[in-house]
Amino acid sequence: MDLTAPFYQFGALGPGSGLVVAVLIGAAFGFFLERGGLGNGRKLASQFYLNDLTVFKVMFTAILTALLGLFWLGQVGVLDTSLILLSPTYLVPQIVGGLLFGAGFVIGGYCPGTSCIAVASGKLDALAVFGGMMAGILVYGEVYPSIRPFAESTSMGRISLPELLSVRPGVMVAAVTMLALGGFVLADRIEKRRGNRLVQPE
Amino acid sequence: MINRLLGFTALLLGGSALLVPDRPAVDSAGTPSPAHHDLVAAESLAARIMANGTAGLTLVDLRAPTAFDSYHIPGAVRLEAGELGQARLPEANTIVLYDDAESSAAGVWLLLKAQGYASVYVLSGGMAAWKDEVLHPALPPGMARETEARFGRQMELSRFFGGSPVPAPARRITPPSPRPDSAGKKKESFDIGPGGCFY
Repeated sequence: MDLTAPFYQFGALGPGSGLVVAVLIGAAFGFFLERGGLGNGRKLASQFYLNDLTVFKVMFTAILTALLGLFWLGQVGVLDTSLILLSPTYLVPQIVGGLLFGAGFVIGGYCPGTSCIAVASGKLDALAVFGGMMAGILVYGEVYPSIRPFAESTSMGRISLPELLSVRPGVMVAAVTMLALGGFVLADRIEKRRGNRLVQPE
Repeated sequence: MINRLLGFTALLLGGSALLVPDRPAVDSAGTPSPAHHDLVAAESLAARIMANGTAGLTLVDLRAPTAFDSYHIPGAVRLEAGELGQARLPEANTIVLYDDAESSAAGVWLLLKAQGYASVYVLSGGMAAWKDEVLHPALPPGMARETEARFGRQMELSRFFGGSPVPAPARRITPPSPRPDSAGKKKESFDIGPGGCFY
């Protein structure tokens, strides 16, 4: 069977039609996240108080869909998984970045993607987060030369969990699937016990 | 009900993954895994060119024409990502791709691998790394005797490619060409950095 991806680079999509497809995918992405409730800052922040675990469920559903989809498409020969590009791992800078991202998420109530969605549906708090995000990108770009030694420290290269743990990819797929399904059951129980209430403005 | 059905499907697909033996299901062209093997360090590339010239090597510059005209690695040919479908690169050669950033060359790497080119690499860190590590390597002040040999080598490479080593505090990313005010310059000093992807 012929490989079908990536469409854009095989010339199946030109620059014009590629942009049209990007806009359609982006709109669909935004629509479904909004419909899933992720355009609401209170719902997003409730995640961190364990009152509403929608974000967790949406994220792990996406991870599971992509994981099982890629793994099995690779197994049946539709997709060459060795061509998937991995982002390199820089352990310490990425942990610091993750903590900063989380702190911004709790304080602002949105992550970058959801802030764009909420801006599109007219939420002013999201506009503030979006402005902060843009300012952050600008500042990061300006200070990057001076923090570059840190940003490029503890490099582990392009590494995947099966490589790191020396297990077969199938074992990792099964483990993540169990983790996600267990997480869904646990999330339901936590939500039931805590009454599934959103963070209220003080 | 739907949740249970989806959960059961995931359980089935995830659980049966345990039974899959450890072998690549698709072997499109005997391509190696991109992990760890697809990058070439600027210094190694420079040493290779200095020793053997570009024999057996195809250097592909993926940057804009102005940036290419301003400076390119000696022997490089400029190709746009869109032209690669038609371009026939010498298959026996080692192909090294570079762009301003490593990530933008990676897409082309993917395409060439899929087309069956066996030996394709991306310049680690892109043009910025070439400039920092080869053209203008930063030399530590008060160099220790044991590091002299290493930096001596870097200085040799830098001079070979027409660059100049700089003392560490004054390290700057500037093209060595007499036309530094090219359109590419602004872009070169801005780099989103590692893991520059957010969602």
